[in-house]
Amino acid sequence: MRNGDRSMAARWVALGLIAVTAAWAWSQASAQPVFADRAGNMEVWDANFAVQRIDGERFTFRAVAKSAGAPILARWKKQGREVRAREITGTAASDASRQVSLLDAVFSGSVNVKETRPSSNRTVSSVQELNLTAARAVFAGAQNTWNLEGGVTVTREDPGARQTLRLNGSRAVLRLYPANEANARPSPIRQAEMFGPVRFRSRGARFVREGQEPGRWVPTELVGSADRLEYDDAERQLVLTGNVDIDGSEEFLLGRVRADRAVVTFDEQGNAVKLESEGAPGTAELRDPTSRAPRPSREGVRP
Amino acid sequence: MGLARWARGWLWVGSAVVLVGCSGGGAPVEAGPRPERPDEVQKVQTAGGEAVRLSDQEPRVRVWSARWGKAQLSYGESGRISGTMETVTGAFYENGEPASEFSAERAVADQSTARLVLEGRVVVVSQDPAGRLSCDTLTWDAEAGVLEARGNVRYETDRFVLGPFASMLGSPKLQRVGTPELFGSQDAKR
Repeated sequence: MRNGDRSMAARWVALGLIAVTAAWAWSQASAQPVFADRAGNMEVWDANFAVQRIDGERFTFRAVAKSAGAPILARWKKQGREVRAREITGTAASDASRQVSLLDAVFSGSVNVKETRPSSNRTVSSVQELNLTAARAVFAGAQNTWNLEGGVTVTREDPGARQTLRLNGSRAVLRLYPANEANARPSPIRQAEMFGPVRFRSRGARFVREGQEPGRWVPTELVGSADRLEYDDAERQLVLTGNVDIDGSEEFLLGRVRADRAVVTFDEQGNAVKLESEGAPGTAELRDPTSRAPRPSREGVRP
Repeated sequence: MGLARWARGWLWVGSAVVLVGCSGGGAPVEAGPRPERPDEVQKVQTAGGEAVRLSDQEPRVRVWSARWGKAQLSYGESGRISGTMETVTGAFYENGEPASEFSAERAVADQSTARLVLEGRVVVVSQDPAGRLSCDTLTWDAEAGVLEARGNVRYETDRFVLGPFASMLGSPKLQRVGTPELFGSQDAKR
């Protein structure tokens, strides 16, 4: 075979590979949702789907992932909610504007919920994301509550406010502020309850206005574990109970704290400002006051 | 003999109403078991007409009705109808009551069952709740009480759109619709 023929053959093979790859990629991508409301709010992708109408506005539905690989993607745009799961069974209703909202639902199979809200830093245009992962999640729309079971992870990331929060537990109940109240609330979480063993990591940044190097951001961190965690946004308090173990680089923390119960108080910007601990054994390992570095990450709490 | 049968078929078409298995007032003509001997079938071309299919079981109630622009129909001794109707409109019935209306390019009625197959630009419309199912082909299985839609199946209401799917099942009033794997299971895991 001449060199020219070989070159031509190689070109055809390359073109064939490109065509096959493109066809495969095209077949993997869904061109359109399998369910969409008329107002462009609710969409469900990559699912087999069934609907039972209750009346003109309400209906029950069930969606199951079409293939073993790709999960269902369900979106409620005006609620800032996006969910991936293997299966969804729920009730939804449309309003006068034909916008379909979720009334209640059970999500199962590697559930990943993303709730998006404006950043708690009102001076920036970025958003904050609350990510929830669990084996199973039950959503109650009337209370805007997520009940999560099995390998629960709650992550809140707010780059505009330099804040991240990560919680791990076996079960959790989260009551969220509705998306239409987001502008008035720094955090999307109204109340949270998590059952353990619970591990948490809170990272932030404090702006230094005075001292030797004023005008800079100083990173802060609070890490720990407990049997149970409760958070109430009205009180801006995180209550940890049972085998409490806290450490970090916050200024109020003199060292690693172990206690039966501890209460962390946050300011309006979501920065931890105070720690109160109580109960036996109630020990604290004092740190060198010149060092603010936290201990290395604990097992299971990834940055 | 042949002429008499042809004439009977013609009258049947000419009257523009076919009541299969029952008279116009609803009194069953043939309520007993099916004849064991094979049906003698006659075929007839018609430019327009209407047929109503009754259920095989008592009480004998309407399961579908159809109006057509042109048709080739086979009419057997047992009173069952089969054939192909073109430019067809009609209705599906649930418990003898109208459940939804349909239109299609063609309808094929099966003489041995109460099934009706619609082909080409099939549209089924329900009023309560209001909904519209469109597909390439649709089979109305009256005994099972299920619509089986295939090919570019979409279900639309004034609130949402479902599909397209390769196939979907639906209740005659379109109150329940879904892909075959999930149809009727919406509440199974609640």
